Amino acid sequence: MRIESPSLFKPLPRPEMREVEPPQLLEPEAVELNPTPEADFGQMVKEIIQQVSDAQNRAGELAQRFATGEPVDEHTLILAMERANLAFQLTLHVRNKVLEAYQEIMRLQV
Amino acid sequence: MGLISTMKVSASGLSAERLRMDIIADNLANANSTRSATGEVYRRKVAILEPIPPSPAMPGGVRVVGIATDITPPRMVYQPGHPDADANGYVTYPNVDIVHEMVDLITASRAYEANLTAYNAAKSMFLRTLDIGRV
Repeated sequence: MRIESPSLFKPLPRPEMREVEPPQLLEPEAVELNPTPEADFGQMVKEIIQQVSDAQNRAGELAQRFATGEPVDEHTLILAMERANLAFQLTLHVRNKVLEAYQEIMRLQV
Repeated sequence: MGLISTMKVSASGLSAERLRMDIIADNLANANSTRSATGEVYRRKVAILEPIPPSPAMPGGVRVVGIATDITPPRMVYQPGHPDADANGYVTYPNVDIVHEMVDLITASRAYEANLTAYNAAKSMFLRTLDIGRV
């Protein structure tokens, strides 16, 4: 017996596309380091802490906007919070390392 | 900050899939709309995605360049009693195919999950990196 393929399996017509204006997507914030070879360590630490603070402020602002009912994408908020969290953890590690080194030096026998 | 930029790439994928999901939801919601404010019947919408050219700040990613409308002919259903029926008794329904939309929905949902998995993998790599040298 031959099974005829019904019209269900006929190829779909290729949709023709018409362009409309692109939507505005909230791009994740671009945080970039600008390494300058002669910058001193204190200055560098200050800049990095400023960036961490910026990330946290951004997350806080998004959270506030989300809580007050503004149209903020949920994932944008969560990602900003994650980003602030990771940046803070990295800073904390650097701080711990610096403190450890300092204490190591202070323990030196004179 | 290499892993952070990997996360940004995954984040762009999440945004794009979220938007695709919005569009599919719109298509499904309007599958049975027979009129609109413009007078023309609703047409199926499709998101057009393109890769972001790699730059030092962002090593790739995806972005939505636009939302296009599918101009395949609308569905004509014979319903003479319908208020929106034409002179021959046919009602113009949107060219939305529910089965097609469901497949797209599953694709968008799984693609979102895939991006999320990549994001979480990058995050756990980052956290592992912080463990280097810890005693």
